[in-house]
Amino acid sequence: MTKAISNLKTKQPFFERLIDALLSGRGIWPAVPSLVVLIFVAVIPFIILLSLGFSNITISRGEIVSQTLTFDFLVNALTDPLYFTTFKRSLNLAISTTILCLIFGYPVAYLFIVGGKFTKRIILVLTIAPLLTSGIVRTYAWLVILGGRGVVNSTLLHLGVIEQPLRIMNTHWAVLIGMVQIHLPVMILPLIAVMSRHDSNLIEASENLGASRIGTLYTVILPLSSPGIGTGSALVFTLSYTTFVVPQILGGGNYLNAATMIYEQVVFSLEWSKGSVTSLILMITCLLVLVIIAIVTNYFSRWAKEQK
Amino acid sequence: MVSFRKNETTAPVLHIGAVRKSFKNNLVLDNCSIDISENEIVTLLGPSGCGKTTLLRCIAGFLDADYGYINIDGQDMSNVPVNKRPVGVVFQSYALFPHLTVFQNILYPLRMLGTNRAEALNRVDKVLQTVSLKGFEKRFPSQLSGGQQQRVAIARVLVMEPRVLLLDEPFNALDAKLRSTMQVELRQLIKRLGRTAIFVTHDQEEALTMSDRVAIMRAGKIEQVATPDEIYDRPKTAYVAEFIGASNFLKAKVELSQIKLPDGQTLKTDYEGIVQVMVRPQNLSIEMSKTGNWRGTIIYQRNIGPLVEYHVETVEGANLKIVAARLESSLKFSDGSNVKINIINPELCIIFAL
Amino acid sequence: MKSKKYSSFSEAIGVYFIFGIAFFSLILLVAPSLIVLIISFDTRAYLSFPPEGFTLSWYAKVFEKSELVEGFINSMQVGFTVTVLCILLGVPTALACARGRFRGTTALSVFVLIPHMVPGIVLGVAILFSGALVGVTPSIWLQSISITVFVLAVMVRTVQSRLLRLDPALEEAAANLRASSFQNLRTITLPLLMPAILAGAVFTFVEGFDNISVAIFTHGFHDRPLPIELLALVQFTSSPLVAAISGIQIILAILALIVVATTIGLDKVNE
Repeated sequence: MTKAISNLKTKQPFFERLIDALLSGRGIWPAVPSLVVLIFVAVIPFIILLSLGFSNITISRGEIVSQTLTFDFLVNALTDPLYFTTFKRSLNLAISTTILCLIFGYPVAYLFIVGGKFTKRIILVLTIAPLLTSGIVRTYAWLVILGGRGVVNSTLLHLGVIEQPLRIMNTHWAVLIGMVQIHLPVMILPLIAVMSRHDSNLIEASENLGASRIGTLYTVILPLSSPGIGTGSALVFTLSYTTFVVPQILGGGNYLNAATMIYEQVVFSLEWSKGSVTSLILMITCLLVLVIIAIVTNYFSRWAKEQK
Repeated sequence: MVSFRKNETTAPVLHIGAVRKSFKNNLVLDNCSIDISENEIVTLLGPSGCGKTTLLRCIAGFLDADYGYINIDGQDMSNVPVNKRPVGVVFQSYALFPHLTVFQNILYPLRMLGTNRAEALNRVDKVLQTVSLKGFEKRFPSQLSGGQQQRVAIARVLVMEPRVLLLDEPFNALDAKLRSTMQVELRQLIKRLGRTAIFVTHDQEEALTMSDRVAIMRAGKIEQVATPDEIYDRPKTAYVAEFIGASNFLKAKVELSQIKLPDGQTLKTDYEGIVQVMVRPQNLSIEMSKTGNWRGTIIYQRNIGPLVEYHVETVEGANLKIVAARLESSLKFSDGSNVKINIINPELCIIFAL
Repeated sequence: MKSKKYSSFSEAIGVYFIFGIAFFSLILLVAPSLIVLIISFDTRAYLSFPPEGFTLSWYAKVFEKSELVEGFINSMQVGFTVTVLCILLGVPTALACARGRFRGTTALSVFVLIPHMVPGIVLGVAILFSGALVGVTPSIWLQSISITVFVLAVMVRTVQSRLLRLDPALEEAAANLRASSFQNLRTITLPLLMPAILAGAVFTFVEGFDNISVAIFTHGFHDRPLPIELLALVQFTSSPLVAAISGIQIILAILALIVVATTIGLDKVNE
């Protein structure tokens, strides 16, 4: 009446069985290729970068003849006032961009979670579409808008508010405005991702308990969205701190920030060791700020959990 | 803790011996042994955490036991990987492949085995017929009702004709009404096809309806394996008695090989000392009276179909559940009535050591 | 929006204020692109607003400029290469991270993330230097591999999170239904991962095409990608050609968005 399975031997070709053995080991094998690539293309170059920043290299006939450890480059960089102003400017720009993006971006995320399906869809389209266009295209748009004969000036002139075109282009303000608009989606998306994950029942429950809308926002939504704020801020900060295109285009050739300085050192003056040190300083300061953001976010998340 | 019937002279299909399994210092399966014969339906019954699902997963091969052996048709399964074991698993969530149609889902094992197209189509067709799902071939799992999904899951394992069917709480996802009909249907189907099956559940009614034998599990051990009747009439331990069917427990002292029951009757026993006496609710009766050896007050009564269930608190403070046929005579009872309690048939009481 | 009674007038103002900022931001997101689009049809040769006339000549001129067309082709190549590499390297890595039973699973996923956390320019510089030391000069291939390393983490993370949300019972069922590990992977896991892989592919392609921070140090002199060409064009001329190119990109972006929205749904892209 019953029969045992007649065909237990699977008809698999040798190739498949080999892959099977590799994959079924549940081990690290599938990841090995990417690990190898990462080590050779990222880790090792990075170590080399480090070493370049700290060594005095003499080259003779196109080959490295000697390499001595030196902190000269580092010391020069840290004591150079130009470095100080440049980094301060970068930091300033990055922090202001992050804060402004937060101020403008958070309401959009709030609108997203209280909005209906149509609202949500529009917000997603408007936020994701810019990310699919090149940074240069988005920066160029501001060139058009803020330029001497750009939108702003023409309109203001037309309306008679001003008599001469304002010089907005090539100033710190132009760069800031451009940065904020360009990085806005990067702040909004993580916020939406985190905030929509939370139960909308929580919001309803809070309102049922009599909290006003603002009250709900303050006591419930804000704390719960702190991981999103953290992620968004970290991303926007990193991008605006290390961005090269926007200051270059909107700030004119004279606007020097850390990224443009590195570019100049590496590509134009070919002072590679200097470039290396600058990059390292850039990276470390960036990481420091990220760590601060992480700590603050962590603190707020814990506070949020208590509020629950 | 071994308890199995050796009625059949043929070897058991599934033999589990002294299986032990721990998860991080937690002993989940403790020396489990059970034999399952051909065409038998056995249910592993117990509360959550008793190890029943773990045992099922060991049989299927998703987990490896630390110790003990699992044989199917006499063959040791310890080195046999999941996809070579002659078992078919029906998951609690059915685990239907969402990106494949009903037809493709059922065809899947045959496809993996490389069965030739004509034979495969034939078998799928037959099995669709068996579970009454002909016409649903092109639908996707998301377009099916709970009951239909369950049937696809069953069809999917039937098509590869496994030696043993393993079903992990297959009725959990269905609503109550559907559950009872499906339970009866499924049992009939399995019997008609002559399959061997192991069910896992925490629902005692399900176990009693579906199984030829029930294995009651508790904290990793199998307490008793017997037919539903035997489990009900002759539970081996107080735990089993309590688990299957309602029961009342009384404490009594053995004097001279006899127990004096609260209503005055006596019961002979070999036990000594203080023991537990289990009385089923239908084995107790009440009368309106202010006298008698065993008195109490009705706290609460309710009607269930042809029966009445009384909750009575005795003078000594014990709480009893009593069930009686709903006849005219029961109409005179009400909450607060003083009653006298009697054990109808002392021989049917079961004694357990304390 | 749900209609709710406001507990006080000031509260209503507060909420409307927030909505106001939101609307402003949304317009801010889209207005610049719209303006550029409008300008790209302008007949005048300089950047100004409001536009005069309507012409498609700038678009035509774009296709005449060989370096722009070549730049586009190069960028497309980089985009595809990066995407293919990320899939080939990233999907197995995600599998190892999510399904692996060895001790370093979290360490592995963090390790893959590191190149993405480092500023792009630092990575670019590092690769440039190392390349120079071993004699590898910047080229379209160096650019591709450097961007791959940069964005690999995104692919890994997208696939990994989908993998973790996949019901393990599905793969167990497949195994019970006679599938070997490889068959299981091929017929069950990968098909169900497709949306995540596609979402990751969209991002890696865009990054491969548009990336400047890493590319600026590693791109080949003869195989310049489009963003680099554009950079030169924008900096040294004020030609409306850039407006036309922007117009093309904006339209392409909208098309891509429609494709994505209809195939895998917008919310899936937002990891």
